Amino acid sequence: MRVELEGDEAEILRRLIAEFELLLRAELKDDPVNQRLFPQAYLDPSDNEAYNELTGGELRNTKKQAARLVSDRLGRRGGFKGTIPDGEVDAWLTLLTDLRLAIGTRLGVTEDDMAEDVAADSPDAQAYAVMHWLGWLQESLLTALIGTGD
Amino acid sequence: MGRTSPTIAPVREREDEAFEATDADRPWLVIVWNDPINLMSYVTYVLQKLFGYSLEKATALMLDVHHKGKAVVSSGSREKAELDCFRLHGYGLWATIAKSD
Repeated sequence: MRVELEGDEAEILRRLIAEFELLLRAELKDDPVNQRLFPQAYLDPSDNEAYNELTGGELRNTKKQAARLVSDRLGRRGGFKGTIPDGEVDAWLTLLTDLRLAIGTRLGVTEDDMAEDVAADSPDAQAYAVMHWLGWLQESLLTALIGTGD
Repeated sequence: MGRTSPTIAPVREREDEAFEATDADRPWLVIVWNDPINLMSYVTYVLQKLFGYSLEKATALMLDVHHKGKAVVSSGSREKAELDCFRLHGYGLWATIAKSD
């Protein structure tokens, strides 16, 4: 699948991934973003303990690997014009989702927030713009995927 | 409607299998909850990818999640439910596990 990113777009992605990797390493239990990325499977905390022991490390590693893969593909600077092999598409999709989850949770977005335009002078305007751009990129990848009959 | 003679091998729809259980082994349900962030097209893609659902079924489930707030996306043994939940979390969906009533 072909992806083309301008220099400034690729740069946004590089910076977001770097922040995201820091967040993954921090493992802040009380951080809402961490909680959204690693949801509780069960209502019962003792059931969760067992489940988290089983899965938590692997889930975190999977997210780290996806971030690393996309970061490596983007290179250190400049735009990105390349083909994503089939086997790497999910890494891009999940990484984009994780970034949106992180930003969206940090903003505390609701469905209405996502549907409306944010005032240009709002302090959150830039974050919303990034959210929507990441969503557009993800939508483009999905559309291209369906186009190939996958 | 008259009864035909019984078949040897019971034929069941996949969905029926999930709800056939004795009290001792009620199935575990995997629930996906609505969230304001994930794209509808992405949720549909994930459901197709992870469970092999048709586009129609995945879309219907996604719309249930969206409009009703949540939907059961799979069910089975506790082990299966935990694996499914883990895979859904891997794709950034908000999923939980519950024993069926």
